Amino acid sequence: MKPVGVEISSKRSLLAVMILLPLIIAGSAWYVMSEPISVGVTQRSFMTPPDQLNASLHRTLEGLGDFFYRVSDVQKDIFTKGLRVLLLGVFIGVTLVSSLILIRPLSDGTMAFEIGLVRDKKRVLLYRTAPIIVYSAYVSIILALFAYSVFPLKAGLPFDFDKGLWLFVVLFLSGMWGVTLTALVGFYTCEPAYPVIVSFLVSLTSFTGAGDLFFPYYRLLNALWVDVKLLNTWSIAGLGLLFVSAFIALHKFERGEYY
Amino acid sequence: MRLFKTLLVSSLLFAAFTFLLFQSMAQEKVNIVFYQTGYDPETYTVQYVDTTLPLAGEYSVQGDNVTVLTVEGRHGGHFRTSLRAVRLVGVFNTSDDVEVELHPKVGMPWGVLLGVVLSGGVFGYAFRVLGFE
Repeated sequence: MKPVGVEISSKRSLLAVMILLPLIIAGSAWYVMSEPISVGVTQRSFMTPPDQLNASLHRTLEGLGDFFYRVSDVQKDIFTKGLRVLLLGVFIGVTLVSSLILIRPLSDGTMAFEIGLVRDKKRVLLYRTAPIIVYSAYVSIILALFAYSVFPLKAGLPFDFDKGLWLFVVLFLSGMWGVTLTALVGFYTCEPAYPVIVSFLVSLTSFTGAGDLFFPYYRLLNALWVDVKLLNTWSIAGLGLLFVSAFIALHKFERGEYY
Repeated sequence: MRLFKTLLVSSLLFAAFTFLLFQSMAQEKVNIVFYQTGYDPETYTVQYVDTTLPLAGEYSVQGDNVTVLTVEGRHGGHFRTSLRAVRLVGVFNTSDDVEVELHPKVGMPWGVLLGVVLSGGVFGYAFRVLGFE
């Protein structure tokens, strides 16, 4: 059987996607985070005779706490937005890559040829899935490094090594959710476009209440960083969906007939 | 192009992007002008400005007679803050406008850049070792 790397290497568009994907995700996270904080610039002044200067300096503290509080609110928002862009970017990007590597050969008949050659469906599937898993591990490790260096500057929160490690794990898991969702949707429809559309819909739901079920990774990250109690029943069910969908996809692939 | 080279090129591009990002961040300085309306030798003018910073971290202050209030406390010519909000307080006795500049000190994250290129090499090599090409 032809190594899968040879097939990937012969597709220029797929290579371009693989090269540029981490750059695009990091760039859009940066773009989202770099909008200026629009808490108004205020300037005030008062006059004082020299002998009362020290007594009057306490007036410069007026409204300071309120100002700090508003900016810290905006900063928290920026941090949340950046993390969300990273998680959803890995999810959508890995969906795109895996639908090109996994589902497109299924629809154009390459996979049927390989199954006929190897006569072992599980091996063919594993052989095509393993490069995607390695690639999504690569993407999540460099994005975690990016967050480790840039997020403290923009969001001001301390970002130690443990947090970076957990961020890597959760980014990788959201990539895996992309792979299993692609497999599930793609094996039923046999069209590479549908998994991408479904992943967009799932990312849209992550902004609503249903996001706890369909994309629980932001909540999982919070739970790992702060407190495990932040995981509610819906999000644990959402994590379970990862394994359930992988199982159903495998079952469907083994039962499927490919000519 | 082979997969090994693909990941290596991707990680080099990513490292170059991060490098340029940090270079551009180091040049973002904050400029504040205290406008003076009148001069009277008998009185001091106390002025304060609330301003937001482009980055958290270390700054050096270029300008005289200015105190910086941050969440961490009161600072003179040099401060470090985690909240991107500062109040600059100045006590002046001149008729000229006073200009104050805050210069950020952003260190280049060499370790992270090295890590990005290394992980590109390692994962690219994993493709070769696992027999994908």
